[in-house]
Amino acid sequence: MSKKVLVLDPEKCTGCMSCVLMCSFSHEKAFSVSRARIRVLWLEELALHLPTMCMHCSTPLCEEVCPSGAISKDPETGATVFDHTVCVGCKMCMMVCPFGAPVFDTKRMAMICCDLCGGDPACVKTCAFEALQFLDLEEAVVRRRREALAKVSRALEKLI
Amino acid sequence: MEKVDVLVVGNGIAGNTAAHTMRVFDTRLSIAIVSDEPHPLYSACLFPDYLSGEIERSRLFLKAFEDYERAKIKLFLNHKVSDVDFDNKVVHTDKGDIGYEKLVLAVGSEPVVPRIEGVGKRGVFFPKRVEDIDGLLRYAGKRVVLVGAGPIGVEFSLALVDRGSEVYLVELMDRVLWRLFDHKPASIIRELLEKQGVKVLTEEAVSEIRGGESVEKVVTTKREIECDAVVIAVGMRPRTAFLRDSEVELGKTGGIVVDEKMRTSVEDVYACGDCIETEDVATGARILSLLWHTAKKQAYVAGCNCVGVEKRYPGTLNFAGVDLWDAYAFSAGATEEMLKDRSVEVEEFEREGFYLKLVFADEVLRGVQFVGEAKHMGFVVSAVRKRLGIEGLRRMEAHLRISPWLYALSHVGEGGVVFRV
Ligand SMILES: Cc1cc2nc3c(=O)[nH]c(=O)nc-3n(C[C@H](O)[C@H](O)[C@H](O)COP(=O)(O)OP(=O)(O)OC[C@H]3O[C@@H](n4cnc5c(N)ncnc54)[C@H](O)[C@@H]3O)c2cc1C
Ligand code: SF4
Repeated sequence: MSKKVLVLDPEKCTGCMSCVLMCSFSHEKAFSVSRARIRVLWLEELALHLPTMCMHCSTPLCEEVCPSGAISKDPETGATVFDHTVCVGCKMCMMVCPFGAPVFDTKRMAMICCDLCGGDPACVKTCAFEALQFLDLEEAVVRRRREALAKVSRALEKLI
Repeated sequence: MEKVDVLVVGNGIAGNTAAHTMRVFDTRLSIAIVSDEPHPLYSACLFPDYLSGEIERSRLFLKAFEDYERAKIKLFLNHKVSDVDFDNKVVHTDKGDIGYEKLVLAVGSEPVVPRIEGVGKRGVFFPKRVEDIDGLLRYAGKRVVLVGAGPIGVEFSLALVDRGSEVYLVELMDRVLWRLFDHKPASIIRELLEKQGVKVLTEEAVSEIRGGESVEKVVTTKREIECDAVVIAVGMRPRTAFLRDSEVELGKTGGIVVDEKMRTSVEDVYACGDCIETEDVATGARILSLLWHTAKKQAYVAGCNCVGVEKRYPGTLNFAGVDLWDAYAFSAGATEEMLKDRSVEVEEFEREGFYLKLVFADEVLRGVQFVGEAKHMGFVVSAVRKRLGIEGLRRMEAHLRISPWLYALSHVGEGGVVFRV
């Protein structure tokens, strides 16, 4: 199986929060912003909505600091997965995450975090604006390059 | 005589991480772990939760024996290593010799036993192993005296309050958690502890533990406290006594000296975890880290290099968090006090229920102290690790605020998230 990655495009995000609500609904069967594993930040300076969640780092600091072995890398999907039944709620992972991804769930008294829904993310399925996509790693990289090139050529056109 | 390709001494987090890392890279290598304890891997960091009754005993164990079998890691439990013949590559234990090609020393640490009369009495505990907590739990613990207000002392004091004990926390220094916090945050923490019912006594030394066979009373420089249990947590030191007269070089701290690949001064011998001495990235000093996450990281580096996958250890960044129920205390890097010989600049931010202190020395961020509602501090932690100056910090903050996804690009992992710029 080729690796898939979540691709976020803040420029397409409208801030409708469907992903947030679907995230909590698919995991917790509740439409709850505070229990969702994805957040949408509003960046005033840029007038931009930014969906944020776990970046599934290849050597995650959260996994390193967790004293209860609750966090591990899924060798299949590459996702960083949290086991809330093992977590003791010490909050160290939350303190050290550079993206503020882990969410403390007061119902379970444990951390929850994006698990890429085991390979079929609910947030992606619900996003009507393609701000969130789940693509093959290679495809995502190629697209990124192409877009960067397009940006450069547009800039060059303006100059010439 | 048994002989293995890699022998790991120590079945703590360091030994386990090293062994399992090697297994990931090499499926054929014969790997064994020796330990003088009878258990599979457990986490001492969870002891406070076990003590308070929040979690069951079984939750302490992070591995089952089947996990070792599955990874084909042989266990020599209840084997105490007395010394090592480095020339002939043989480890001597009380139950026989084990030969090795490569050796990983992950022997961890042991509690410092202060010279106080009466420390040998029944009812005096030095929390380190599972059995110590099992023993403490068998005590009524109506009134407990904790000696040493480090992270273990503080966490245990709250756990014992939770269990219904009357708790005295006695500290020789002028404040609680003095290695992690300067005066101001330490006094906030003290207030929080007192609010939960812990009786905090600072600048007070325990001079004697009295009683018959069992503990009855603790005598300090200022008072006498009647009690039925005493918990002593005045520090840990590396369990390296058996190496003292060997070729393995030990540092001033008593920890094993290693290079950035976790190699000791003896060829084919690696070391990691609580038993080694490393450089503190915040101060440049040679220190014992004595923390779970640093042990894990060092062991990963040792395991990789042991099987020829080159990895370097970037130095130690110590950080620790303590849950104080109503608030969370977190410290990373150096305190102002640790840096007092340098030109230190401090920035403090204080609001109701929130305290943050940034410590700069030589214009570089060296430490962070925080007390308040648990917050995402990842950004400051990585700033200390990156030795950012005030300017760099401002840039990073602006960067994070304005374009976190740019910053994120450097962290993209497999199966991770790719941002479009
Ligand atoms: C009560 C308590 C709470 C803690 N809380 C935290 C926390 O919240 N956060 C944090 O980061 N850290 C915490 N720590 C520290 C953390 O537990 C240690 O840093 C970590 O366990 C070190 O792992 P290690 O594998 O290096 O050593 P150890 O866990 O000490 O393991 C050493 C192993 O070596 C074996 N061994 C040693 N000598 C010999 C010998 N001669 N022969 C045979 N076997 C031998 C021992 O049996 C053991 O299996 C806590 C520690 C304690 C005691
Ligand atoms: S809060 Fe849970 S998942 Fe996070 S570090 Fe602590 S035990 Fe691990």
